[in-house]
Amino acid sequence: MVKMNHLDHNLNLTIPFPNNRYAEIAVKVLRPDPILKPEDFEVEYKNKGNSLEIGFKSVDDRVLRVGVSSVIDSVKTIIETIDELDSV
Amino acid sequence: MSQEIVSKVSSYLTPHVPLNLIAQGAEAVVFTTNVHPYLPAKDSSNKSYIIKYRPAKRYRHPLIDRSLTKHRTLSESRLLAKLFLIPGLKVPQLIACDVYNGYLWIEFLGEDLPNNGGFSNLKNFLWMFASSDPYDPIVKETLIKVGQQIGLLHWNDYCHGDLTSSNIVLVREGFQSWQPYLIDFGLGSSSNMVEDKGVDLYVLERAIVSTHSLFAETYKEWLMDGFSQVYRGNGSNGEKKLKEVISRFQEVRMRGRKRSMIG
Amino acid sequence: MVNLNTVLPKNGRNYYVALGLEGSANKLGVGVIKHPLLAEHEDGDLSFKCESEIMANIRDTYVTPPGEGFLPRDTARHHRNWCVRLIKKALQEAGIKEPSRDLDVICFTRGPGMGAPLHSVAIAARTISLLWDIPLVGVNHCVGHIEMGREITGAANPVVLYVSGGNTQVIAYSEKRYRIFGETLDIAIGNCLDRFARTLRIPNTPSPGYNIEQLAKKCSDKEALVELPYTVKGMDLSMSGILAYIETLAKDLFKGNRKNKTLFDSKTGEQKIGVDDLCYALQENLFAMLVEITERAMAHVNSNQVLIVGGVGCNERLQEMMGQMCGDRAFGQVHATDERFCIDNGVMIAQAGLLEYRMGQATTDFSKTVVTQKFRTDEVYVGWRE
Repeated sequence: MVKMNHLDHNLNLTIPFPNNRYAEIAVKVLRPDPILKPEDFEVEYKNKGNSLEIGFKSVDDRVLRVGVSSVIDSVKTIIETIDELDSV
Repeated sequence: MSQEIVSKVSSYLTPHVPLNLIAQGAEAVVFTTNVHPYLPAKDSSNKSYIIKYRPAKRYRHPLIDRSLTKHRTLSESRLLAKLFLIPGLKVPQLIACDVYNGYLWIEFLGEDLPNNGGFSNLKNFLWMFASSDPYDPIVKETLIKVGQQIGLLHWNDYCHGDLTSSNIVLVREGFQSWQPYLIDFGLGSSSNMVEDKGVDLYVLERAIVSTHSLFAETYKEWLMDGFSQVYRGNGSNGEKKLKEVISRFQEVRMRGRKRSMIG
Repeated sequence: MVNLNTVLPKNGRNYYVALGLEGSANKLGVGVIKHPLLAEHEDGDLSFKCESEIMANIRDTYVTPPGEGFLPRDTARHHRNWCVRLIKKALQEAGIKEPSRDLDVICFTRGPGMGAPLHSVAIAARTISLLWDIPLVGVNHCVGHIEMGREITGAANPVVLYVSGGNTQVIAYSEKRYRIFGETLDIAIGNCLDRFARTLRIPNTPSPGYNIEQLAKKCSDKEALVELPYTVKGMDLSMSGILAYIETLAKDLFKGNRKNKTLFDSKTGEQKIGVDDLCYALQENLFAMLVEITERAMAHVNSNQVLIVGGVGCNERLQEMMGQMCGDRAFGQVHATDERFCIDNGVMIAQAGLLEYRMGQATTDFSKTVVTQKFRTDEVYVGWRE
């Protein structure tokens, strides 16, 4: 039996969007990308009403920091894209 | 092709050597002639010979060009002379060479395939069968023999350097059988390094996959069968060396796949 | 027969419009391209004659200081910072007011390239795909170069020499794929030039390769040539040995190691060789190898056309050498594009992506839009060619 890593370093983020459609878009954009090391790090994306909810689980602080920061970078791109390009 | 090249090679030869252009390869121009350089004319009148000439390449710096032409013509001549003496190994016989002017005089091999199939090199042969039966028993037999030739070459510590289906000529033997001959040793070398052999096999694999894509898996298998037979015929030492060559071949292949391709 | 009009333009238009996003390396490019709907495209192998009109082609390059290469993280940050601005500007230039109505497809580079920069652009591509409800095509970067080159030069079925920062390949089409006939066994030509430039402290603006080309022109004694290893293996080649050799020379040059007889005169101790001579020798040697393997592939597949694509393809010396090689072959022709198209750009991604779209190869399933660093040219099914 392989020893399972304990993913006991957790963080939950709630990011409000102006409406449900945008929150849904964010989930759909983020979800497809696979995690490089699923045994060390997990992410779950959901939208609840107008909010994007992201749950992170990780083996340690460092992996958690790197993972969270990379997802936030993507979220920033999504928000900027929505702000600037949905005017049309 | 420019007349310039023909007159250049003519100028190196004695007068009255007829030249009949048959192919322009990447680095050499190939002519046939019925004149033998030193046998009396009457003995050679019915036979054809090949004159393989490496013209100067305008695109290369003259220093690079001179050194490559000399080096390749010389090394091809030396290799042909040595390989010709190895029992079982089939290469054309070298007749004469002029390394500074970059031409060789060698034995003519092969014929034209039926139904305008082109010259009888392995490439045209496989293309001919591709339209009828790509897995014909003759194809299998021939590819195994090709593998054996490459096996013999490597077993004797030589590498070809440019193994493609164009560089293997098939000579008819009897009714329905073909004997492969390895030609074009300009990039060849004498080497006992496993790496060189691995690269040789990788170059061949790539040539087969790109030129005969649809049937490449089976063709590769048959080639490797022939290749392995030669090594296995040499006892436990052969078995050991075969393993080394094959594992290096796989390593070279992985290197190709894993290489990052940024930009 | 290939029918390039398999999928018709949206809203009954008589033309297609595609947006292309490229960000696989240090260049971020956005392009918009238009194909007219033509009856002759319904049957025939005319994918090199789309009569395309380039509506916008803009690019922003992440330039690093001399002696430094571009790192994935920083490059991705650059792309994130500029991506939306570039898309906006491209749409404006193309006169597209309502993308959801005016665009047929959004194309982005799925690979090969650096993971983080590719990903940052893919995120933007997916977002606009959902915002505007337009399907996506994930394009192979190499195929983008090939299709743009064919369209610009009109070369129907060339042997392609693809030379860039990360790739060195000799490619020819056969049986619905772009097959790789020859390639580097170790490092890519652009990578070799970049690293050479770094050891000799040649600046990165506008690009290391361009500066090497200019320095090579200044070489005073072109008769004498620093001898370098010449490493062609059939249709493949190897460049790491040459780089290692020239790096040793560069070190001795900077240290003023007078024992090195190649660089310094053995009697007077005077320096014989300068940076420009090394640039000249490197180019002459590497390009001769490239032209040789290209010619070998041409002879092997009986072709007389060459198309040079990729960033290194802008090099005029390489184009000149290729031209000389083709001049000596029966009906030989060489095709190359200028820096608007041979350097990474968004239009080429739009061109290849639009061809895929017209054949019905677009997707709305985002699991198929995950980027990949390794994406071989022969993995792509070339539905748009016979």
